[in-house]
Amino acid sequence: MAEIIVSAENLTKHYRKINALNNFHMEVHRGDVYGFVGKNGAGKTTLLRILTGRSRQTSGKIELFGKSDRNDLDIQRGRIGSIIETPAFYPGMTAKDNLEVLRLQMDISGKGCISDALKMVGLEEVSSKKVKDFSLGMKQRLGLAMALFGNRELLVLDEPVNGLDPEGIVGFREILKKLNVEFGVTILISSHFLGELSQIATCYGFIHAGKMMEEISAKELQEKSESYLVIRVDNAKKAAAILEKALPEYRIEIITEMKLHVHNFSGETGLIMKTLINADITVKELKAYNDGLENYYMATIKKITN
Amino acid sequence: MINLIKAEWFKLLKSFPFRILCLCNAASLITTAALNFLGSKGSTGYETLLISLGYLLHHSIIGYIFAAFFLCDEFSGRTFGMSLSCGVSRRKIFNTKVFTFLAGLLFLFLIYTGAVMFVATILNGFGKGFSIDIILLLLCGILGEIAMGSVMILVATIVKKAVITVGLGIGITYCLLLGKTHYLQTGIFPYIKYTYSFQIEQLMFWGENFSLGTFLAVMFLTVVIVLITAGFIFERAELK
Repeated sequence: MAEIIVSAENLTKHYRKINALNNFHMEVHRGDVYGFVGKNGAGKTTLLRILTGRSRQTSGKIELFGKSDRNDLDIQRGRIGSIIETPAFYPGMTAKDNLEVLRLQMDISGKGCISDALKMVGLEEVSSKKVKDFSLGMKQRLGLAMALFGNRELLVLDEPVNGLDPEGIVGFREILKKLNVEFGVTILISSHFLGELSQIATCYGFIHAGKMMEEISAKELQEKSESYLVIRVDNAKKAAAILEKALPEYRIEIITEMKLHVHNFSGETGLIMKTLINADITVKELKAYNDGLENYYMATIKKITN
Repeated sequence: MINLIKAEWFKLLKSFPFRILCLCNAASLITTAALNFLGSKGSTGYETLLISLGYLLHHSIIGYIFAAFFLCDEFSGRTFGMSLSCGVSRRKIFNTKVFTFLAGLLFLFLIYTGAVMFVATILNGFGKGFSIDIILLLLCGILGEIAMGSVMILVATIVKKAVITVGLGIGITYCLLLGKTHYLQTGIFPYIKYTYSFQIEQLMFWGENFSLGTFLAVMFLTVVIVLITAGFIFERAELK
């Protein structure tokens, strides 16, 4: 099992009358792309702010790279790059100067690393332009360059693609994939773009009302969020009985008098259609669905709130 | 901490507002020199030094504007996170900020004070022989500026917003000046004598009505209490 590099145990954060985090637990393993999912106000940003030292927890414990003492945590944060909400820069300075500030703070010798960082995110042509004149996409990319600066082992990204155009989102995703696969960077990313998240995440954490509801690997999610067939017929009960007898390997679920679902579906719509037609069942609609991350998350939240 | 200080100086030297403040200081200097030149009895270098050391309002305005962009903009711009991501503690970040702010403030203060004294000396002579007293006077001026700078750091750390810091800071200065005037006229609220602002203005009466012991005690206590308080607040602050 890969090393645990981030863990939160019984983490609680109060803001006056609000419980932003409530006995929160989480573990992130080295090499993961951990997708952090939850609705607005669930506590995602609060957690990420605590992990990066911008905020202090009310109670509970966090560990970064196996260290939990306050002084050690400060030191370990030097291994973490982050973008929390929107990237933060000195707007009156150029992109190069912003990275120079970081280089001086981190005591990195040689200025070659600055041009390397800007090249990685495609900003080398505008390195002498003031950040206040950057577009939103350019700012996001500079934020990523700054988060990565200094060979970070962990990236903490809070909704990093907000405001980016489709091309920007794809570009951002490709950079993250490269960082994870080629350089072994662990990524903890919160996002509302579940479709995007599902393309890179290796595991997920669902947060709701300050609590971790479920942690699940991408593989487990794939298995649980199955493909199924939706069939509209004139008599669902009769159709279900026929399918259960003819195709016992499938799980048949009657939804309404005229609608049924076929689970464990393996793609053989022709066989199902033929079986129903041969039994004089009128098929009005036959359509394949896949739950995916979005539906799984919504189902999980619905289960919790009910 | 040396690398953090290097980074802070880099930011300061690149800072457009800081250059504007230097220009404002230069404009004040030119105005002072012109008034001295045009006046029928110009002040000597020594007299100008006394006045400029105790020129609280000018130093406050410059200082609080400096605090606004050097400290408050870091809170509102969320750039403290950059320093945190370098693996340093909040204590070190705060100490670096204090050191660089006070150094920058002293730079602005000494440029102004030194330059007006120099111009007045060229025009009307220094007016006093050189002695250890002059060095002591300058050192007290520096200490007074450090005490005032510490209060500015505290205000900026509590308020965290640039415009409110400037407004509140200048407001505090005005209240203290009014308090002093009121005390001198009526004798009411004598404790105003033990504030940093009163003591700084007393520098103008160096050698006449000036208590060095009281001055040093007030300044040291101000610096220690105020910086410890500001550090405590910063360590627990929610950084955006």
